[in-house]
Amino acid sequence: MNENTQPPNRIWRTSGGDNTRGGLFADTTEHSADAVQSVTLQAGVQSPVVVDSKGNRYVADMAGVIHSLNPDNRPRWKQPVDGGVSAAPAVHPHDNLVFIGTHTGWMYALDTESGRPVWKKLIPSQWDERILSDILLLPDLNAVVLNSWGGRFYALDAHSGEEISQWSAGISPYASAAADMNEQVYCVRADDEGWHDPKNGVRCFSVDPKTGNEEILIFVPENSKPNLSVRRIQVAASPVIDQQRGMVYFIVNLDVESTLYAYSFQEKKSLWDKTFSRHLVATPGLLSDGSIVIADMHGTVHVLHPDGTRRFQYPTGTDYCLSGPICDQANNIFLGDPEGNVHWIDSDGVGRIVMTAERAIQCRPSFDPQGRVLIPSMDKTLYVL
Amino acid sequence: MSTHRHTIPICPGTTFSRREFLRRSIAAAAAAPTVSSSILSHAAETESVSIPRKLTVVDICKRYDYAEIRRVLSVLLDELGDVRSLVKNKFVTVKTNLVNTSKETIGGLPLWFGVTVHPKVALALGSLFVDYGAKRVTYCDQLPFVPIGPESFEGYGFNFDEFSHTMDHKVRFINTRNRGEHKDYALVKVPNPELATAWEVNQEYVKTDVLVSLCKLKSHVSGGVTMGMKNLFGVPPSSMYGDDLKDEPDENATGYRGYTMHECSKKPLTSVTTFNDRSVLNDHGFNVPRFIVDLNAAFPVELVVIDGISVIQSAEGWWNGSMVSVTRPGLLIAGRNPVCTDAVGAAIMGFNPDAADRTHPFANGINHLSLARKKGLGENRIQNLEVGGIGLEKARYEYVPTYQRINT
Repeated sequence: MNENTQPPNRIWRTSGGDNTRGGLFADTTEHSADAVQSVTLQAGVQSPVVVDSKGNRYVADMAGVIHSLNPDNRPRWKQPVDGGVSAAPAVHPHDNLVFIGTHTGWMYALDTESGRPVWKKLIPSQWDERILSDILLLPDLNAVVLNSWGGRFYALDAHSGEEISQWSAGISPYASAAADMNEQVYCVRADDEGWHDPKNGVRCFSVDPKTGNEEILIFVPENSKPNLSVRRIQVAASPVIDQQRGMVYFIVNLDVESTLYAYSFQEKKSLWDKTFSRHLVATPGLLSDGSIVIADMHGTVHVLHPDGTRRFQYPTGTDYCLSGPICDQANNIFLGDPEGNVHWIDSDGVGRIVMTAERAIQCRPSFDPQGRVLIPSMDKTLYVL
Repeated sequence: MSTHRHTIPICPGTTFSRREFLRRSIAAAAAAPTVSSSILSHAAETESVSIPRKLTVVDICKRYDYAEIRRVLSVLLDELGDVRSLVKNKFVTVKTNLVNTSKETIGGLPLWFGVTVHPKVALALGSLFVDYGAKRVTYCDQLPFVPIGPESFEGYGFNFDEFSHTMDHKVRFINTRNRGEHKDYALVKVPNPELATAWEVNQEYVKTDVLVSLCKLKSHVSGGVTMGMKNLFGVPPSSMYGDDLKDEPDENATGYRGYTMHECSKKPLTSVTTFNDRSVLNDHGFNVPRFIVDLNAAFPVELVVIDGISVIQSAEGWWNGSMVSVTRPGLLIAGRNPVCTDAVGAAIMGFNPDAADRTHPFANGINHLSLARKKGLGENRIQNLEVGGIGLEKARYEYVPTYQRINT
């Protein structure tokens, strides 16, 4: 077990708080709509903020500048990288390293004290080099896991960038990998083996990052209609692991719908599934009791009990949700919407808008160690609630 | 910023209205029964000729709320300064950006949230034109459906009754996939052509006083970016340029123009030869940008309005599959010169509108904005352009770039 995947923690070194991507903070939090701090950045941000053990923040913007701020949100350093960034960085829990993947296919390890590159690596790709999915760090293996639109996942040595293993990421991968406490990695990919090939479809699988050996957990074949082939499938939401209950949640987009699968480690099968009427692109979140929080492309937040039954729904009032929620131990839910609104939803499903940014919020918020909510926006501002 | 008179086209001794310009272009094209492929000219840098530089304005509009859209557009158009006089007592044609079918979605999300112009933006714009005194507003596009009237627009969210009521019945919808109710097509010569020496089109695009390009704020795999200029790709009719043609023009055709204007594996079935032999087979990045410029040279756009509220990034349509993702710039943009306005749009998306050919965002082809500038159609270098409203820096909203195609 490592501190990146044990039960909820305070140090959010990666998107969703830890490698499970559950988005659940270690404590209850208190917030006030009147106490919002704004930090001006250089460009819009579509990447969640990550934090180190000292509370320093790392923000990657779409113009390709990495900003580090101290716990009081004052600037520490800025470091340009090659290409814009929409993938969440990841911070090493033991070493002073923060890992960045860019739109031009570069993977960086930056020194957290100075911002200077320790190493950088161009991820090979024949034609599409983008790294769009959040970085995953495996401290025990000392590996950083990413995927590229060149169609591969890579596990790289965290200190050197040398390749440890690789495996298929399928086509157009947006979804990041997740990992359990044993550093078994979980992924979703869309496979296109050729026109009408029966092997076409979406695979939810686990993989040993040391070897790249996979175990397929769920396979959903593509629709037989040509216009709804696997090439139309968005693979956007990351798997989410509920370590405590031994579950992993996968979102599979197919046709014009989406299905959430609840896969049990113990029973080695999906216990239930629920279908939504449009693709889902936001990674779900978890509440402290195991309820699952899904933000859909109708602009509605659904909360399901661990058995898949409906707990409540909350309409954000916007056309669609592009980013997922985070939650605290009191089951307060926070998420941003594409109109710049930040919603705070309580455990009974009563919610309100606590602040509004000038432009869209297109990434998942984060918590800092004190429980403050960090929300970057495309208006070049980091908001601290 | 200095303003320049539009220099394309000029005939000695007079300045033409749009109708007069197009009448003469049509006459010139008709007078040459075979437009020879020997009429070739490479784009020459025309720095010695004044390049039009027109103001572009941009403002935030977060929601598809009709009242808010209309309010923001009215402020933008007033800031441009001369739109009221442009349309007063005029017939206005609005070329909409509705792409090739309304029957698809982006993962279940309706097309108008990502690919096509939202009907509320079109309605707000049309209602403003009517308020400004326009005689009539005609929405046009080549749509892949049989009806040539408003029925073809319904799948894109355009409700004729709503438009008619709001616009005091001064509205038409024309599917320009063929000649429609006109007896003939219009043959319009291209000055200083790249690939097309003339265009044969539905007369709605010439029998009008003002041509407006209403489009989305998107990038494009072959063209780099697609906004006011690329929107004119929908002008050539299916009946002569369509993919579903056999050996003869066909008034029943509804196909897109992939073979004739992307791959260039077929010539259009126009009444005279209108394409020269300079296209490159299967090189979309060579062909598409050049046709964009040829269209804009032939059909001067006098106002571009860009729906940048909710769009897709990384590519231009549902046919790009899982590559595209929805993004929300929350902007409306307007300008009086399509090259200038598209250049500002490209900069807002985080791109360099004067980027070198075969570099991002024009990763798969040539930069049609630069080519248009070299032909004197308008300025594309951002440092030479004035941006009003909230300004460029505040409007900037970086997109995830497109991919680099492998040509086989």
